[in-house]
Amino acid sequence: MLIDWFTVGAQALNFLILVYLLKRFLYGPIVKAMRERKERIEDSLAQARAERAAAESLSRRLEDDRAALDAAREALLAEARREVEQYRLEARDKARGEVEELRRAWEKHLADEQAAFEREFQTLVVDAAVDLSRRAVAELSGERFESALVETAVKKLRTYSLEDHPAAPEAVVRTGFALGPEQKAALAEALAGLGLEDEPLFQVDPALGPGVVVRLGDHRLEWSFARYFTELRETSLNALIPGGGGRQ
Amino acid sequence: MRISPDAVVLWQWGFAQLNLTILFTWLVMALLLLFAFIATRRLRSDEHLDHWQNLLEAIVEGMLTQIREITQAEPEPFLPFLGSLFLFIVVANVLSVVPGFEPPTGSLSTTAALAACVFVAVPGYGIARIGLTDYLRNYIRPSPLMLPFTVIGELSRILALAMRLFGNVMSGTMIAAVLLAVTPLLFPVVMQLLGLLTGVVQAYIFAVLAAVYIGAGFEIQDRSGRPETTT
Repeated sequence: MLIDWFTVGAQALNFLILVYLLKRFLYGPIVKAMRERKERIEDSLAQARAERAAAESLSRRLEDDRAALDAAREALLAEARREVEQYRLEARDKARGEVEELRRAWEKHLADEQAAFEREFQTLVVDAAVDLSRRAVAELSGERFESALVETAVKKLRTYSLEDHPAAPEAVVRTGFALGPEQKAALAEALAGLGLEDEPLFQVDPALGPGVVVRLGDHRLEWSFARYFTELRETSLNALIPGGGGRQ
Repeated sequence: MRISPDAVVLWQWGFAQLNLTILFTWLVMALLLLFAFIATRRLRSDEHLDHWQNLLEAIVEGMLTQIREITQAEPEPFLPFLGSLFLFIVVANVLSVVPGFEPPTGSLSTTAALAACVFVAVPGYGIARIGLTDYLRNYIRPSPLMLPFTVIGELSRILALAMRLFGNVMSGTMIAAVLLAVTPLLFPVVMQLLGLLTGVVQAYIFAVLAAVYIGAGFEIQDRSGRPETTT
């Protein structure tokens, strides 16, 4: 008989044992080694992919940071340029203002100096003219002038009034030259016309020059070349230098 | 003339007996286990593998690829069964060139046992994958009238599997023996070489057909309208 059933069963059992043994000692280790290598390679690839993704992410983040830094740098540069421009404009305006102020100060100073010079020059001219006139008058004057002064004083005293004076003051007549008796009498008579009871006191002061000064209490009346020339000088200076140049 | 090595009984105790088929089967198993021990002795799982391991893994990877293409399923669960079928048959057939060795695959008992294993493995894998109820339901689809035909088909293909291997191996051995008796030496050697080729091809055919039957069990289920479960 071609088939022996015991052999069939034995061979089936043998084959199953062989399957188990080969699975245990041949296929299992080989497949296990292959699977472990595959898993290791896949892990490596996954790790490489993860690292690549991380690197790409880092690269993108760095790019973003770089872009942000570029933007911040540009903003800072723009801000700095704006501030520099603003500072430059402010400095320019400030410099211009200072220069303008200096220029105005200088012009003012120049104008002041010019005005002062003009005032001084005019004053000198007036003073020279007055002095020249005074000397000319002093040299040319004589008794006639002195008499004219006394006559003028007498004439003015006759029109003078002491209504605002509380009491009759003491009269003092001071002259730069010696008065004659007639002149003293005329002056005394004129003063008496003002209501004075006492005789006036006559004094001679050569420093006064050609002139008559009458003091009535706190009133002072003067008719002298010095006063005329002083008034001439003040009038000339006021005419030449508006604003009080003649108050020197 | 002795057709099957089953006839040579070396030891017998009642129903049990030790014949040449079993003895040479043990020899083949011993050789395969020895090969397995040597082959897997220095396996490495890192990237620095030697040429021998590289060859082994290439063969195993080739087997896995073949099984994957045939069954359209993840091949690793089938590798021990189908790979052992192929290795056992091919070693047994190749050793037939060794004088005095009678291949166990030249025994109808062996091929029947292997076919029976396939006969059990096909529904075993199918039931493990899709469940007993669904697998048995496939026998009555599309109509219960198909049940006897399906059963006959299952039995007949297993019978064909066993007979094909047995017939080829046995006939090769017989032809070589006959030619050795009636022709010069050279011609039987050529026929032995041809038988060697035939033996390898038969091992490949047996394993491939077993894979096809296992995969066919899944295809039947697929035609029933369920989603594919081949992954």
